[in-house]
Amino acid sequence: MRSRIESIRRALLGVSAFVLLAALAVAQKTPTIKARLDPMTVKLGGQASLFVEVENAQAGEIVALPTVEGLRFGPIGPPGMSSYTEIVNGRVSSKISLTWRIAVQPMQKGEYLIPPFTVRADGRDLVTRELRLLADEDFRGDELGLLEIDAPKEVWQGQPFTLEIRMGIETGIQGRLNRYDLALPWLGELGGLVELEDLPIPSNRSAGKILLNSRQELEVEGFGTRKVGNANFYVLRVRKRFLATRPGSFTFPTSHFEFGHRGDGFSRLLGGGSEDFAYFKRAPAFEVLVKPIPEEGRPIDWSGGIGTFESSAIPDRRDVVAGDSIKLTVEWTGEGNLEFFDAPDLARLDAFRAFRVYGTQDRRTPNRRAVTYDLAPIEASVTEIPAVPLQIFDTATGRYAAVATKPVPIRVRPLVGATGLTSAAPAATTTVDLRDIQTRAEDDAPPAAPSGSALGAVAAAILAGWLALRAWVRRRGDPDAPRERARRRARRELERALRGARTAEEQARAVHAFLAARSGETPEAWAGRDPVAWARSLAAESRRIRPEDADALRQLFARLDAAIWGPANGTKLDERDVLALADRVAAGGL
Amino acid sequence: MHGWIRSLFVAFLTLLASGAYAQESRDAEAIAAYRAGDLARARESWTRVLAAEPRVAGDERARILHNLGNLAFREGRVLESVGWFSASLRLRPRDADTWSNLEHARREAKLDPADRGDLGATLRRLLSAFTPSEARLLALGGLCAWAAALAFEALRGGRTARWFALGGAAFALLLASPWVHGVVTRVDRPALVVEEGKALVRSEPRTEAAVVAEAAAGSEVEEVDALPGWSKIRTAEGLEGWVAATSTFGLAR
Repeated sequence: MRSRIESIRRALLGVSAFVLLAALAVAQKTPTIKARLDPMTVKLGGQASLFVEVENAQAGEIVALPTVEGLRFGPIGPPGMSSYTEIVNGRVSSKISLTWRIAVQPMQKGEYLIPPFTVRADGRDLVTRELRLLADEDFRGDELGLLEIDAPKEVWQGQPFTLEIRMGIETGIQGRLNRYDLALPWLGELGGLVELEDLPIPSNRSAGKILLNSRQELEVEGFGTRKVGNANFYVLRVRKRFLATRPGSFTFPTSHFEFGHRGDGFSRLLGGGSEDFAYFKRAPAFEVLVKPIPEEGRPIDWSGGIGTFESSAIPDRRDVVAGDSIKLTVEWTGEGNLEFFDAPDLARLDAFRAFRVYGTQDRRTPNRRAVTYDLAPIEASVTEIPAVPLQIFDTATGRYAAVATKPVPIRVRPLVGATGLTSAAPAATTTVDLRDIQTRAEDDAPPAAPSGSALGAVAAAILAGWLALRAWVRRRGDPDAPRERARRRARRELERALRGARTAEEQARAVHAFLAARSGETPEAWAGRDPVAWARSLAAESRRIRPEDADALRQLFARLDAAIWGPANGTKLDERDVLALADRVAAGGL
Repeated sequence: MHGWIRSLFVAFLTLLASGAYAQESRDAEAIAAYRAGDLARARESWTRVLAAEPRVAGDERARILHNLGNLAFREGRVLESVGWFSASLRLRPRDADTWSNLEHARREAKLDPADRGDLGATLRRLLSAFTPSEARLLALGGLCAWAAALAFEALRGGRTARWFALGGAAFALLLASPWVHGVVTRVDRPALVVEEGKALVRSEPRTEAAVVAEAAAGSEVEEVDALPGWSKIRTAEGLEGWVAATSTFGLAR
């Protein structure tokens, strides 16, 4: 085991020494440079490869490629490195080389001279030799192929536009082809031009994939056959969308469509299979003018929308209770930057004050923009969903314009047992303010009132009147004396006694009590008294009772006696007659 | 002779009617100007209505004062609007709109509310809830009730009648209390301090004179004298002194 480790260690040491010797050997040699084109003649649309090889250098870089009109160089990648070492008769010989491969594509027919250019290797500047490239038209490709690009002449800044690229292959050779390559040298190279997502191709119209700029795959749409002259072409279509972010003119250089046949590596190795070939069809360069969006007339609430739009609004329900959610889908269609504008925020629109906005769901496609708003009417007075406006720049008229949906009638029922959600709505702001001016003239005249001194006089008069009245009343005696109180109560007592009397005798006692209270005597004094004689005696004492009243009293007494002692045997008299006589007597002065 | 007197009477009535018509049209003009936002014109028209003869009185005058308060508030002179509303309430003390506006204006002017809501303020508000005429009529009603009670006592006598007479006297006093309160608290020329913050009360009507007191904005004072550009006031504490005439706002309007 130990001897095995020892042998590995020795081998590693040997390899290290070998590499060191090789490096020393290379370091002693001067770097050299070689440059060549392969092939030196290409068809228009095809490419040649520029190989730059530097020997005896560990590191290097191409300082700059020359500029040749009509010739387009591909990107410069990192160099490939190769090395080999040989030992002949104990002498070590090493070689290290750096190789760059750069694509070169002529844009026009003609002969191109690539001037010398500099490559820096291990700190030394090495210069290539002049190279020559011949580009010839591919007449056969022109006959067998088709390449058309439709582009708008003018667009507005920010307005998406579509390049429709149609490629065709003569149907006679279609079966022999296995390679299609669309060369769009300007793709990704034009500053200020943003490539957008391609328009989707329906699966039933997809014709497979071709190469794009020899690097990536591109799905194409089968577009049927078309007859041009005497030839029929099978046409493929690609639509690419762009958006210019700056105004000005954009020049799209010549594009090519390469179609042909190329065998795979295995069949080449065996020497079998059909011969490789390629044809090129060219589309001329073209320009698109991008106009700036005007500042004049730009609304504050411009959404950023550019194009020609149409809008519609569809709610998921139209009959709701206040506070219920309504999903309102607003859809914008048309030509324009449908994916990029800012959808209206309904919560900030005055027209939607009676609504609460819970959220939105935004769906964007190149040809349709749909925003679903989650709304809730908070008042039962709402009768419609208002129009949803969108401020856009109309590319058809070249002016700013508003695109609005139509109001949608709805019915909002009030919440049972509630007055609405207004008070709970955060958007509803109320404040305290003055009550309004009063505009109705007051026609009520101020009430006529006594003056302060008149009031004082009235108070004094009241006091004086009271004192005078009091003195006058008490001149006849104390009105609060028991006899006076009994006299005032006599009428009430008589009425009560008559109501309770069951016989004429009891009625007689009640009458006697009444007369006694009024005359200030005892009831017994009236038993058997002759009222007429009594009235005469009063006249002698300067007290008066009307003679007719006295006579009436005598008659009453006689009737009572008759009722008590007579054949009627105690039958009562009519109370009303008794009371009437009592009132008459009292009013007469008794 | 009689025809001449009749013509004079008719001319007098015509003059009265035309004066009333002119005031109505000025009021309508002021309302229209206010609605249109022309506050200066509205102020001029309403001021002329107030100054016109025959004098607009009672509730109608209070209405104009209320509107001038709104106008001053809209013009940003909040303290002055407090003065206008206070003046209006002196003529029409129970107008809910004017009370509301007065409290709103006082709140905007960072003043204490006119009615703090405590017992004393409630009683004062109750006692001052009647115009002087209403207070005197109320007192007269009280006197009539007292007279009836006294008559009863004089005719009947006795303890009950005496209690009745006493109750009548108390009732009369109760009904007369607004009038009594008005008489006791009456100020001949009331004014409101409308100087922002406070007005400096000086011993003499010149700016170099010593400051003897300060009158807070929104406080009621009595104007006891006036000179061009100066008003002599008496504060609630009984201090007297001179302030700039623009510092006060007369409430008797």
